[in-house]
Amino acid sequence: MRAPTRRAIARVSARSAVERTLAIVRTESRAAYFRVARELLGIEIEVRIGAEAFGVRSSVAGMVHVVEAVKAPAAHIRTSRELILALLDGRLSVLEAILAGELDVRAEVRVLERIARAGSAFANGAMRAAGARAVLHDLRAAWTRVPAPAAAQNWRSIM
Amino acid sequence: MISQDLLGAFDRPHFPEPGSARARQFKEWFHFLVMDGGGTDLIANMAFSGDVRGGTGVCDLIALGHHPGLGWSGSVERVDVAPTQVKSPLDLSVNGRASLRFADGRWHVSIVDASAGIRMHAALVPLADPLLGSDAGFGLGLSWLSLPQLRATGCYEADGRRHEFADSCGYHDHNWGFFDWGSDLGWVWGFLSAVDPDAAPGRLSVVFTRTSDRGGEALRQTVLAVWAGSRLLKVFTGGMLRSKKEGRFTGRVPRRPGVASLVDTSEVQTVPRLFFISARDGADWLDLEYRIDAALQLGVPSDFGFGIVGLNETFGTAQVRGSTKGRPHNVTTRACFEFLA
Repeated sequence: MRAPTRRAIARVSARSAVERTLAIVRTESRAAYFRVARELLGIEIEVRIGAEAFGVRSSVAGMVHVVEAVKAPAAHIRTSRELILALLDGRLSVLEAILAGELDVRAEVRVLERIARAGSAFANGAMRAAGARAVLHDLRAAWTRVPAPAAAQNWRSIM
Repeated sequence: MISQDLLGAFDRPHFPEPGSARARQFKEWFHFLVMDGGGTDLIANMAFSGDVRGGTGVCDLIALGHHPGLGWSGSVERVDVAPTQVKSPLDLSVNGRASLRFADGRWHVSIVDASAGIRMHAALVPLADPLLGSDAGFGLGLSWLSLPQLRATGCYEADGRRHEFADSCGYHDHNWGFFDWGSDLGWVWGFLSAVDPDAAPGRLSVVFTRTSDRGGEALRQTVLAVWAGSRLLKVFTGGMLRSKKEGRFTGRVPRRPGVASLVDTSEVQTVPRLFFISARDGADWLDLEYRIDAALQLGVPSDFGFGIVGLNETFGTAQVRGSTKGRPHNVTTRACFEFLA
């Protein structure tokens, strides 16, 4: 898979990042991919990240699909690009994000459990897949804002 | 003190032959610490795994910093090892992201994660005798070299800030061998170095290592080494040593890389609040009490399928009392300990 051009990086969407990472995990961490597909079987998830909206579901063939929209979502996930990067960089935990109101996940309890296992499997696969790191780099390049410098002893701001 | 040429020859990569049967289990890491009296502590680590020469290995590049007022910063990034250049006994480069070489009587370490805005560059001069050890006789395949008391100069950039250090206290160890992350293996490792006002001129440096089963119950090897200045003064081993954890650190313990917190969303509960060491050998004795004030967990993918293994990196304050070879010790200083959960 070729790395995106600069223009392409500027257009990185959450949906494209998820699709790209799923494809990488399916190739490089097949056990993780199939676990994601198994946990999401029969569940449709509506995802809203900032202004973007898309759906995620899996098929009986063991494939995970990212689609324009889902007809009968059993779960709704709402968050922002900033929070996605904060989670991927470890600056916030999932629990901290939920308690701060930055991550909203709504579903019946048993569906929540399956989404949590699917998320863990997805992260497992991405963590082991060399190709997934390129996706993270592109997300950072496209979504990161310049951090405001803060005063600190023995440190000086270079930005 | 060992000659620098000999040190450079000892501290070389031990990558297995390409395609060898045990290459999958191979692990080797070069670890550096800088503990700057100005409050910023740094960890730099290049950790190789797998068939490095055969082109299917990986390298974890770890560049972390901790400042009491700012918390943790840094990067943990896994890169493919295929293009790694191994030019001479210790002259490594990894994908243009990191380099490590021993030249001009010092280690030159550089780790860069440009997309995360992380840059770490350090030159570290050895000032003391090294300690060489091996767990091979205890059912493990790990060997190691440990060097306290380096003089470190360099810089660290993270989160839009730059920290420069000169003549700071540094440490280096190098571990290599064959094991699986997630196997029945645990360890505690620790380091401190401080000017000791009650002793003869020179620093007191202490390195501690304890390997065990995963639960920390069945001990395999325990070593406490004491340096006075550049000279290795005393090594306590085995039955001379007692150690224990106490309590639980209740501060926030972030995980790195960040995605590890998505694999395991639970809070880290495995960092102790205190760690005690007691060493006795005839007239020689040393007691150490370590109080943790900062912790971070490195999430390492398990070699047994899903899940991660938690490697807890901590900084804190150590109080050391004792007497070895007639030299009294009485210091309180910054220390670093690592716990394999």
